[in-house]
Amino acid sequence: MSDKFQRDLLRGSLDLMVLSVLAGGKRYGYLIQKQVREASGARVDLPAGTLYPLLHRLEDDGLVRSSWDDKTGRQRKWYELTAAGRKRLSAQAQEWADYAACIRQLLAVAQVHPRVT
Amino acid sequence: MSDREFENYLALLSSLLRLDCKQRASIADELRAHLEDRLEELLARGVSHDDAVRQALAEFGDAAGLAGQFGAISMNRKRRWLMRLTTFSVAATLLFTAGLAIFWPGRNAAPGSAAAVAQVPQPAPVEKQKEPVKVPRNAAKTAAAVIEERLNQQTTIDMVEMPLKDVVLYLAETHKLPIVLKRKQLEEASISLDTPVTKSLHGIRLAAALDIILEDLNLSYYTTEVLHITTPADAQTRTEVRIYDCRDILAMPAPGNAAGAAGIGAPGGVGSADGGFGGAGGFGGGFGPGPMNEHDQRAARLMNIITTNIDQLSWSTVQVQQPGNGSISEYNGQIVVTQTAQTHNKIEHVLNMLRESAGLEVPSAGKVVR
Repeated sequence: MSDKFQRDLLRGSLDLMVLSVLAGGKRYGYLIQKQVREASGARVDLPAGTLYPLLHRLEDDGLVRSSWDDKTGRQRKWYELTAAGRKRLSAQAQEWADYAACIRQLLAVAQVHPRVT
Repeated sequence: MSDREFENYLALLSSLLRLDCKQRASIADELRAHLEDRLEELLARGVSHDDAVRQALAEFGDAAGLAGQFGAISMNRKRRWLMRLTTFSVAATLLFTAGLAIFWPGRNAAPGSAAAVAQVPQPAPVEKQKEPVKVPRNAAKTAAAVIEERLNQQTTIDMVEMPLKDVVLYLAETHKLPIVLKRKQLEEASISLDTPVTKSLHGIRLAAALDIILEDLNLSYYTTEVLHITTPADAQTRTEVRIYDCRDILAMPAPGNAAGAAGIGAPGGVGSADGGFGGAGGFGGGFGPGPMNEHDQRAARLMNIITTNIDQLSWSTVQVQQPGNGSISEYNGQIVVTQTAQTHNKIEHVLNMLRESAGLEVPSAGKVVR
């Protein structure tokens, strides 16, 4: 397993990661964190101190909405995507795909061929 | 199940959040659920309880930083609102102006409207420019005066085993007061920055709260541009001269006119005066030759009140093994005191209490000259 991703690389994509996880349905903070960690093979660690302010910002921007629920045995704040959040997710996903394609193109020109995982 | 360390962290965080109660409680509840989930998971993995608690907290980072992040979000929210409001008011002004232009009576409707549109919106930006100018003028109050003011603010403290450094952080944040813990002095006195503090104080002045907290730890403070927390020995060397303008107190009407004036009233005042302040008469000797006039007698009594009631052992006149560095003298109703900041604060407080009980106007800081 390779090392963790560089911070700079992550910075611009944390929102996208959280939005993608929420595309799978309602989640609370702890679950979101866990899912990001698992999906990335532990290469992305979203610290709690970063995650919660991020969630609150997304909520403020109207991209997610929250509700309290204790049906899991503990009073938890659940987040889900709003329509605007869904829109943002697909827009950002497109942007990422374009960006990745662009980088791939440049690397091909440079004759660098990274292993594709 | 919730760990006390979690509660301490959440309490500190809440206290640092400049949000309303409901929002704070909501954030604390959300983070508590996370901490408990994390704790359970770590315990299940065989991590010791203490390590698990520590790790769970570490993942949130320090409370001040986190509070800052949440605060920035709510600031953005407010800013957006303000922008909306400003946009609205600008639009309203323009509309109003346009309306004015259209309905403005007069023969030359066309040029008149042009002039109105050009001129009327102007007062708004001009006023806006004035505001920032006003602020620095207020802020021109010296840093020291600001600290004095903050020390006189009311404070509420509810802390259970909170580490000293977090207590300081809390006070610094809530009172917008720069506080420095002098690590070297504290180390030398072997007082840990993590010394737990348990205190519940409500509605008292910050200065008094600091006195109470620091006294327990055998610590003290002095102020410069910032407030330094240090050992009493170190603080004792940091004396400063302040001049208290006491002309109002010394000119108080003689007893009989105002009951509260008894404290320093003319010689032979109401019985409670001497009883209360303990033998005011004995102080006279050192003050100039010849019999004292009434002003000098009053001044001597006032100074006696200060030296016998406030930090008795800190004055150089006191007959003990190690007299302090404090000194006090009077000139034309101005009392000149060399003392530590902590003692100065008490003096100011006592003088203001005297003023209050005598029905004099209590200055809003500033009568004390440095």
